[in-house]
Amino acid sequence: MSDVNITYVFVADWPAYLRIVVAGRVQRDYFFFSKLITDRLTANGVRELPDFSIFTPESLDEVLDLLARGGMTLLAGGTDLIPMMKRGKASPVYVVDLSGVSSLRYIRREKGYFLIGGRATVKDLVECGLFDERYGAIKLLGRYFGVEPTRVMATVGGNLASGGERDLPQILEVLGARVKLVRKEGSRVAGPLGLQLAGDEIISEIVFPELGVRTYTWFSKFEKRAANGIGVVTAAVYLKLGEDGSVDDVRLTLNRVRGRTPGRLYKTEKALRDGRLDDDTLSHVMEVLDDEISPASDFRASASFRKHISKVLVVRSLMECARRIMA
Amino acid sequence: MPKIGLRINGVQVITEVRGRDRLIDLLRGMGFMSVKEGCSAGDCGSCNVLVNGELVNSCLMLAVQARGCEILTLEGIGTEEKPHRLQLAFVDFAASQCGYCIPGIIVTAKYLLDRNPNPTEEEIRRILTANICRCGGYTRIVEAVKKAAGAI
Repeated sequence: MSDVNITYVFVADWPAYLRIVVAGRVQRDYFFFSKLITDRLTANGVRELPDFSIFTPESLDEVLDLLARGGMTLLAGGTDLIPMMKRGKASPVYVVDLSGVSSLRYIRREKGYFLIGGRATVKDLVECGLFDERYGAIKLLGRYFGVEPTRVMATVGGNLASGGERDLPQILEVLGARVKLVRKEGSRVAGPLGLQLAGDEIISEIVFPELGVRTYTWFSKFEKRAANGIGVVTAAVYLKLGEDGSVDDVRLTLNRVRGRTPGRLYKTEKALRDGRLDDDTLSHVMEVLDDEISPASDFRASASFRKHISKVLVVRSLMECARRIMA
Repeated sequence: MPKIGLRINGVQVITEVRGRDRLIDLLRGMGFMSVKEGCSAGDCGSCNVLVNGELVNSCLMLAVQARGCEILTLEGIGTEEKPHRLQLAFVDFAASQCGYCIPGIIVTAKYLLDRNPNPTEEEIRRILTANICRCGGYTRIVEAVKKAAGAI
């Protein structure tokens, strides 16, 4: 049996192919077709989504009642969930469609705060007209967040809830935002980075204070194609300068601080505070940043390249903010 | 099965849909074959339609989410007898190679012209990042949209 040779080839996902060769002679070929996959092929060849039951509530109370039953999956814009279902990475049994819950779709300014409903779309945010030029980080979503249909469909709450390397958690973090999560019995408030929703929770509102004088925010994304790419590095910056041009306050986030985890750059912020944005300070700050982050490599970019681009984007964003504050 | 009402190209439709039926499944099932499935993930834009005037990937929207909405597909933009000026411009510039992506591109271009009748080339190219043409025929596509906008 020493020269039994089993060839196992994966062609995409299915069908899989198995060939058994003994002493150089082909004994048998197997093709495996997944019934699950073939079931999803309809007459005109369109692959269907896995089966699920759908609920279409029209108020937040109805949503909370449904969530309290357990086993529910929330569907907001669908730009994440539907591709995940297509790839077999999510197979919900009960889906709660939030498109009818119009009470969660708003953006308001009240008593020095912006209030954003969890179902507000990215396009609502970019085009609501409430944000002046200081909210550059929000405006730049219009350039860097997917393409037009993505911005039309994707929601603020959905982007926060999906976790990982997303644009809105990073931007909302530098804006000092808090996220309100509600469930049938109570509510809680959390930061926008690394949100973990319990099965019966929904993001109802995002709140952040209006920016003060001599402040600016910026967001930038390095991607490997001109548009609609997956960000290799994304950086969000909030900067407040004093009258003398020194850094009064600063908040920085990157998509990969440790491994694949997005986060704040507290040490780099500390190194920047009270200093001036001159070449000497910045080169010292970049050394601090170099020590502070350890991004994971993957097929898009190596750790060292990500580190380099992280520094470039942070410096550029800081300078962009400073230039516009001084203007 | 949920029963939904919606308007497709100006015609009121009441139909039963399954939870898992996407808008593209409903539209193609009803014979609106201009709506093409490409990537099924919101990258290629071949399935783009207008929902209440907003540009949407119909492969990422469930049919139930379109309840009560006004849907516009390519079939509602122009016909063979009465083509839309975008379609005429695309013919003028032979801006279609294999043609699979073109219905989605015309819908995206219509969305642009509805909002911005005099777009710059930069604006045309930026909105068309919503569509992928695997033949790579972008130059003529952009020229055709410029012509339809009256810029040429």
